[in-house]
Amino acid sequence: MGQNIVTFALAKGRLAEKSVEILEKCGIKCKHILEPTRKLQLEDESGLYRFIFVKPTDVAIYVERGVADIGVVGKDSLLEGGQDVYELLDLGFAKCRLCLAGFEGFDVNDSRNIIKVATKYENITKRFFESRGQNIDIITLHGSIELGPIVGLSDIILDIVESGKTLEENNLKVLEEIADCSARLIVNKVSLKTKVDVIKPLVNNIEKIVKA
Amino acid sequence: MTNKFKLPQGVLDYLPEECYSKTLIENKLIGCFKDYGYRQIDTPILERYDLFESGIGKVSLKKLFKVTDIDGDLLVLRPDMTVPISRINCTKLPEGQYKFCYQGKVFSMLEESGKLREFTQIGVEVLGAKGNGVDIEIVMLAIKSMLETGLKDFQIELGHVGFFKGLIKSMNLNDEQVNELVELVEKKDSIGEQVFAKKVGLDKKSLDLLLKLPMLFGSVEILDEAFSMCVNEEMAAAINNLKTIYKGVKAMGYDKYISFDLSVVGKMNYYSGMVFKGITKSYGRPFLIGGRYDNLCDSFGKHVPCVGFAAYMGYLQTILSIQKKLPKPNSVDIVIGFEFDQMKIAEKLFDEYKANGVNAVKSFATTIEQLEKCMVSCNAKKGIFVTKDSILEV
Repeated sequence: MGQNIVTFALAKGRLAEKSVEILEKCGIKCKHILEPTRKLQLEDESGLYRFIFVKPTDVAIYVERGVADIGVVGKDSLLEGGQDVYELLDLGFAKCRLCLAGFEGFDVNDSRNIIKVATKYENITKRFFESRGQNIDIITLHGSIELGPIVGLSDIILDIVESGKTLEENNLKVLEEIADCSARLIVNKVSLKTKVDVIKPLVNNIEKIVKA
Repeated sequence: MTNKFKLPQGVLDYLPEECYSKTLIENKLIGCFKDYGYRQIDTPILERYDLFESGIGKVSLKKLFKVTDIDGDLLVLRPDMTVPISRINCTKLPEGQYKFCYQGKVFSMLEESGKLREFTQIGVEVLGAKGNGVDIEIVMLAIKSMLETGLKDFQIELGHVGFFKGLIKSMNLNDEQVNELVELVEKKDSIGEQVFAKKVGLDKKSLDLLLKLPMLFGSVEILDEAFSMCVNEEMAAAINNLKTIYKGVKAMGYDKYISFDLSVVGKMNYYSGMVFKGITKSYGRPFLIGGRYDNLCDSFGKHVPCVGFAAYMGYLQTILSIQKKLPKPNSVDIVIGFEFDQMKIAEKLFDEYKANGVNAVKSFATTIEQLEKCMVSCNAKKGIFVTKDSILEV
């Protein structure tokens, strides 16, 4: 970790594109980092900001450990990972809902039978049903979660829903909404203090842009 | 396939080089504490489960490393040193003021402190003394002892749990709501705070104060801003306590190591007054935590005001290594090998080297080939081998 360089952890794809857009508006010249490259670590034109590209679910881990000072991450990943970081801003993009979904009519409050839930959000699922006192069987998958109820692997799924199209096309319905999610700006708990001269004005700038 | 040589998760071996720097730093710290009149004590690694199960020193049960005793009693590997020291204070010592220091391993079933489950804490506790003077000494000692290790560019960040406690007093929240709010404030999650305010029906003034909290950190000027936010005596007293501590530390010329964060709520539920953390640019985690805990002993039947701090050795070593301040063992200058019946000459040579300040090591090599291997294993460039007829340089 450089002494005065501020390191961003970004997830490749839409989150990074939107983040760069906002940072450019803040006067950080970093458009070039979106160009195809195999490099995992890049700098802005001034050399004051470093960018590392990691998996979306890993962003908060890098920030928690302090190898990155700032990160942009979906609220769903934060809820799942539970990392100890400051969650300073709602960036307002990448909006989605965390939902329980399944075939219409399935009773998600059923407490007599063990409900089989397919998800990639193991911790959220565990916490959610624990808080309701329901016994469940969690089936952790890494993709195509919607397939769970269709092929009979699970009764329902817990997943993020954006437009709801995938569910619709597969005859699935949102059975219950759990939380609203969007991209969040997170900051390492120590960096906010030790690099306050750079981070505080930057956060204020970003806040203004997001709210505009 | 299981591998019996694999270490359990979250524990570490310390090989000679790391062990050298670890011990040296520990010795420096303990030495510094002792210079200030803190006497070292040690407590068992094994404690009764009940000690941590309830009361104000309660530790998350998931965190405790549990062991079953022969008679079925539940024991734990100590999760911290502060609770055991409070136990000693309440059960074994006559009433009075005590200054103690300690160094020991503590355990957490969940991974903490850099994914470790066994880690060394080293720190001090002042038992039975209250007042600004004590608080100032503890903060000063934290700064001075860290300087003693060679650490640089660090901050002791002060906060006060009274500020937050005073703030929420006017909000009429139940325990569950308080816990929820603590989580949000710990994360500086202003979005969550707004949702929370709506849910529990907070008035606008309270919400405004809450929303100011996340950015209420920085240098000493922040205390004035915080003071203007105080809505009751408890909050004002907290700020005054911090101001006095700052003045005291400044008078001794160490104020450049001090900063403030008033959004500290103190996750450890036993803190009751000023709290602090050691942080540095070189590393993303605090390497030291401390504060005042006047009510912890209440659960042991006595009211004893206490204050203390503990440094995490693992983090400290990492930071010193990043800052290139990690002490390294002296290199070996010369390795001595000898034929068995030449031990006396070898011993004499060894004594001469030592007397002249040469770092010589006696090996058990009885042939030149063995001596060469010994030189590799202790990274020495020179070796000498004593035979009946001569002394050979290798």
